[in-house]
Amino acid sequence: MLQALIGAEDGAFDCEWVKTITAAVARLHQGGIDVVLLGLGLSDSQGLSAFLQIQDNAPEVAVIPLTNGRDDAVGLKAVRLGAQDYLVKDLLTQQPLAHAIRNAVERKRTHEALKKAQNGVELREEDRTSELNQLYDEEQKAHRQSEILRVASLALTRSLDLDQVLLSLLDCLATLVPYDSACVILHVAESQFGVAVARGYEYFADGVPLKRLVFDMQAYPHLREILESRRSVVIPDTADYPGWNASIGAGLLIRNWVGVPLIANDNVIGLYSVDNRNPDFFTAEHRELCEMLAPQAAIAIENARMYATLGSREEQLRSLSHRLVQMQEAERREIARELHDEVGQVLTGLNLVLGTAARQAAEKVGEGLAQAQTLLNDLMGRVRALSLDLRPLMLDDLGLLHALVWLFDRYTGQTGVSVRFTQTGIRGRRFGQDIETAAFRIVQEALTNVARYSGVDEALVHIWASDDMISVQVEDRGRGFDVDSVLSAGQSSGLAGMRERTELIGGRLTIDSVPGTGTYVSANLPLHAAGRVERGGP
Amino acid sequence: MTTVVLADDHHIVRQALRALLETEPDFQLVGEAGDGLEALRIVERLKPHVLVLDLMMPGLNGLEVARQVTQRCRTKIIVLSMHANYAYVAEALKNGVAGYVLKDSQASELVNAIREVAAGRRYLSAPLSERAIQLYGRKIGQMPADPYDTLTGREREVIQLAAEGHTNVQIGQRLFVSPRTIETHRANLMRKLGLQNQSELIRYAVKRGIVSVDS
Repeated sequence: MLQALIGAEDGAFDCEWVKTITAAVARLHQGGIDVVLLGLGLSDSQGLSAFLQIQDNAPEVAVIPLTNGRDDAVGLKAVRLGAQDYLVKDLLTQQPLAHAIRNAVERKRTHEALKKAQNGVELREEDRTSELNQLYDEEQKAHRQSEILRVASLALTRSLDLDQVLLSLLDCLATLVPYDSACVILHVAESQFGVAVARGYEYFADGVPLKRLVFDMQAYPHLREILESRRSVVIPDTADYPGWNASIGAGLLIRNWVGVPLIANDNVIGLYSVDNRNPDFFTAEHRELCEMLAPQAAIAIENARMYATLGSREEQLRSLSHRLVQMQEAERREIARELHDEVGQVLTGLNLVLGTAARQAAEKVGEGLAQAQTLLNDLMGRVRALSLDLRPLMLDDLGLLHALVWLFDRYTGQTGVSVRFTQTGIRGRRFGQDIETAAFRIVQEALTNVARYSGVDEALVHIWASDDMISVQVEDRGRGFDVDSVLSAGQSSGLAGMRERTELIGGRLTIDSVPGTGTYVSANLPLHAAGRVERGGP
Repeated sequence: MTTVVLADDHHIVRQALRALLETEPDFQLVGEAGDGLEALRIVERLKPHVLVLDLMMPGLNGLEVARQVTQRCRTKIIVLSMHANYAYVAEALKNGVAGYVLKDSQASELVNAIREVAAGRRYLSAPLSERAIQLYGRKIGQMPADPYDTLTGREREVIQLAAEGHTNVQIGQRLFVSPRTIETHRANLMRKLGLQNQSELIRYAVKRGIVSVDS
């Protein structure tokens, strides 16, 4: 009957008939089946178990159980378990059968699509979860690292003392990486680097005097590589590293080595390294942790070094102002002496002359007054000379050129040494008071030296000024001297004074003297304040 | 009658000058000032024949007062100064001063000076002379026409060796000084001569005959 019903559908369905569940399952496994119309009373399986067998073997195929009228409950159960529909055998007519088959196929397809979609959602959910877990791990790691950095930064910036900073760096490294030994190497000059601090080498060799050891980084391949690549370098096993024998680690039992460059202001200022006696000991994370400290450490070291430079600069200024105070005292003593000896004596004489005149007869008063006037003029001359010695007012009133011409006249008069003078660019020009004073004093001091030491009777002075600089040069063709030995012998307050004056206003003093060929002093003074050392009040 | 204004920041000096001028019947002292700015105001208001001016005064120094007075009125100026130095004299005359009297000269000199400048002539105190002022002017004006003359002996040695192609290190060895010192000499001589680079230096040296082209 079924056959008849389906056949009447005019080729709409291809039908195959089997008589047992076993045969049905075998056929289904071959594929190409959309719908199974399942009788529930087959010889090898009946009822729901027949349905379940079909479903288990072909979950993607629609199943329509055919029930007897009295098995209505079985049909319903099958639908609940996944059948697309059920049909009551006795009630079959042509129309609803074809309709039911089509619906069943359609429903099964929709169901399959839905199931697939649901599976996809579940899979994605799983992916998301593992992604989230990974993110969480990374966040944890970042948090740990930032904590490490925070602690390190605190430790590194606690002190401005270089040695303290270096020890802190080794301490920080120790908390991050289990090293047997570690050291920090800092730039000294040119390609020279020196070990600034070291720890743990006593483990390898007794009291290796590594600290303050200075060497050329270029000579060691692993150090040179850090210099050139500006990145950290790992030697997993020094036994396999050809350059190692030539390195400073030779003789030590270092097997695993990690070196990290210290970079500040774009310069490699040094590096630090951690060592372990076991090959391949340090992990990628160890290396990463080592590298993390580098920027902080470089800044801390630069700051400490700068602070040290400032300190020594301050020290220089202090000793300079100490010398200035001493010079001032010496000058005051000189003035006091001259006021007493020169001026005081004349005033005493004047007092006596006037006193005598007052007691003299009227016709003799004129004579006494004339005598007083002579003493007075003498006094005026002495006061003027004293004032000029202290500071030629001309320098303030008329400027450098007039003051120098006056100085040369007076100098020649006092010493017998003549001065040949050329100048360019200073006539009619005024410079800052400090510059004019420095230029004047340097010429004065240099000329004094010519008169004292050169043994010649002529000095040459050249002064030339441009827009941004004034240059003062004093030369003689006299005896000359060995500059270094005179400067270091400390018998050169004149030379040192000239140098200090020059450097205070940011200039540069060059003294070129060779025994037997003469002396040449040159001071280049910048006209604009850049680079000058500020000086406190008097 | 010659009208006179006195400007000096020292009370004692003004008192002495007043006493001196009062002994001359043809002089009339019309005003006194204790600093430069006051002097300028009084002279502009009173327009005296003669201003007797201290060179160094607070506020505005004597040279500047002189310059401004000669720009604004016909008052003749006599500077009273303790400086016998020609630098001061020359600057004062440049600023339009008619008389220069030293503070340590005889009192009668100032009286003569006032009469002279009031009559339109120049007056310089006894040890000063016009001739010396000219000489001084020449001394100051002495500027080398040729920048080569401003080179030191060392710089002349260095330019020659540099033009012959020696490096600073070689020149330093030759002259027994450090290369850095030679560097200073070289930089200085190039600045003086306005030379920018080594090839300009060589060209200059050849042109001056410091080195010959064949060497």
